[in-house]
Amino acid sequence: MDRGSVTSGAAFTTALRGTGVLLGILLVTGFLSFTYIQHHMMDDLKDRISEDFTVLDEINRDSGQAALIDTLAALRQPFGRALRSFGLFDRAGQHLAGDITALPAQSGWTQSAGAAAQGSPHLLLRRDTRAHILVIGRNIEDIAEKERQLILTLVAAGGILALSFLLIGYRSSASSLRKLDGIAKVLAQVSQGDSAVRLHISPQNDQIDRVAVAINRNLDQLSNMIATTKASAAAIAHDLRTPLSRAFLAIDQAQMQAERGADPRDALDVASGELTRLRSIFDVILRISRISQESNPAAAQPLAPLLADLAETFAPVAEENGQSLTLHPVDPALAIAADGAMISQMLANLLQNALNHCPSGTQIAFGAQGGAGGLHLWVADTGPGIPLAERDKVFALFYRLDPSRTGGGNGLGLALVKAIADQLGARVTLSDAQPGLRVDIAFAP
Amino acid sequence: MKILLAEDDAKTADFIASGLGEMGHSVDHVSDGRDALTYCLYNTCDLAILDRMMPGMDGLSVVKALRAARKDLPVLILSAMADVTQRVEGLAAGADDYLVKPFHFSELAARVVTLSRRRGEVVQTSVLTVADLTLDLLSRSARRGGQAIDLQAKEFALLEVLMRHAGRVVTRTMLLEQVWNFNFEPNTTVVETHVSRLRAKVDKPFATALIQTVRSTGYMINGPR
Repeated sequence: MDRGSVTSGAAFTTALRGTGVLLGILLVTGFLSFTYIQHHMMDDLKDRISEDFTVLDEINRDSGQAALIDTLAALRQPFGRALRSFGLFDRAGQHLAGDITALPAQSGWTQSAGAAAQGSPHLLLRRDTRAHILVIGRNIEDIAEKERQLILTLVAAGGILALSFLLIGYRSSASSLRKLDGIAKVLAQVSQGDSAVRLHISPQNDQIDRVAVAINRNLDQLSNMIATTKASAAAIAHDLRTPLSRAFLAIDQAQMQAERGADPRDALDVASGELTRLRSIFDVILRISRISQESNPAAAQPLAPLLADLAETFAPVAEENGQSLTLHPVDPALAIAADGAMISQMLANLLQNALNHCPSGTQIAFGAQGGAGGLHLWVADTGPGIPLAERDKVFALFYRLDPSRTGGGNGLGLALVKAIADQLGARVTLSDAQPGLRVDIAFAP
Repeated sequence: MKILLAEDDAKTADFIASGLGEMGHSVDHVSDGRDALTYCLYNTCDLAILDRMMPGMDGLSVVKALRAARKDLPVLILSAMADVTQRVEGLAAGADDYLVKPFHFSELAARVVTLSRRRGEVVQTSVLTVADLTLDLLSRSARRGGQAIDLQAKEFALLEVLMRHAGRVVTRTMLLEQVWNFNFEPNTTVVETHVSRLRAKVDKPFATALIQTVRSTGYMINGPR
């Protein structure tokens, strides 16, 4: 994975910005608390120095300067780091007692660099009285040390926070990038024709995963469509090839017959019949693909005469086949706001299917019903029916229940019915008429 | 009959022209829509066969222009566009008939014959007669040799179409269009079954058959010669 792509990722740049803001806040609050703590410690120290002064002043007042000098000598730490130091000077600045030997230039608070009291820096208070000058110091090395520690802690905390922020950002950026790379790779594979690949969905279920789920769903639809198209193309090629090859053979036969002086008209009739069959297949395919573009006139179409017309058209054909076709009484008030030719073609296809696929003796019935659930048209027969497993497939182009049978229908009838129903917003369902097949076309109320 | 054929595909045009020539018509061929319009406006001819899609000007525009110029010569449109809506467009533009490609020549021939007479048929008759068969369109009754024949609605419509074109071939497709209003090819024997039922009523009980089958084309009703 390219590091540059990771650091330009949204998660990492967000983390980077967050780190900047965090460090800024840390700097300001650190500075404020540092100065507060510093002041607080110095004030504390000053209080203690002032207390020392009070005590030593009392000793001087009660017992005299000699006692003060003794006290100072007793307080003097012979070795180690001096936490406190004192210096007593006369009015002329002459050192009298204590370990502070250099008199600060002015009275009040000063800080010594350290030369005065065993090398460490001190906060000094010089007070001048009528009798002498007293200087008291306290070691401020501890304060400096604490300040250093505070700064160190702040820097360390800032550093750790910034590092962990950036690390989290980098990792989530890298993980997003990995997923996006995966998506890109899969889409590239799909564009090269492999419609079976799918995106991996991680258990995190983040935004990218949800996008991936949507992409997978689209890929499912796409590969379904590709499969259907491939199957349709193969079926079309197969179904067109059969009449075409028969026509070829018939024309060859006619040629041979003509050459030897025989009458070629029968063979030419066969060729012509096969080409007619080919044309009707083309017509239906074109019709199916064009149906979705046709508009529906909204004028209400009375159904009773339309259905009666179909009954009158197909009943004699049924009778000729040894079947019977009956139209159930239709409420004369029933009407549908759709193109009558489309309704008629849809029902004609269903009736022809029943006529062509059912044996002699079959009873075929059809009708229309209104009601609160919306209008519905139905065709039922007592023929062999369609097995449950096949009921969804029969709507596909060129699907035949018995693939070996090339006679009868062209395998397009139900595909056309479905296309018309879809266009009219109706739902087609196949069910078992016990025995036989029942087709229902339900229109939305 | 003098026929203008406007068709840009040379092979199709050759077949049609030679076929119509064999039928005894004289055919002039153009392959551009504008030439077709000019020809129809400045020459006399009895029928124009126009391809719908042509260079220069499409067939529908030619018909519209002809109708606008009050030229009422019969026009047959040929088209590869088979939809009902496209067919309706063609007829609405002023064409007299609309034939979808690919077609059998016999289909075209039958329609050419029908069109050549359509313009001359001014008299609207309410009774059609072929030999001893009469069809009364007002009382919706049929009689042959003084004997009443009971016909169902589709049988009546079928006989009417055949009798209106008496002596001329009516193709299966023309019957589907005019009797059933089907613009699709049914994969059942609808036409054959109904014709055979009609024959059982109109021809079978009588000595001479009037309805003839025209090999691989359609049917024709004709009195005995």
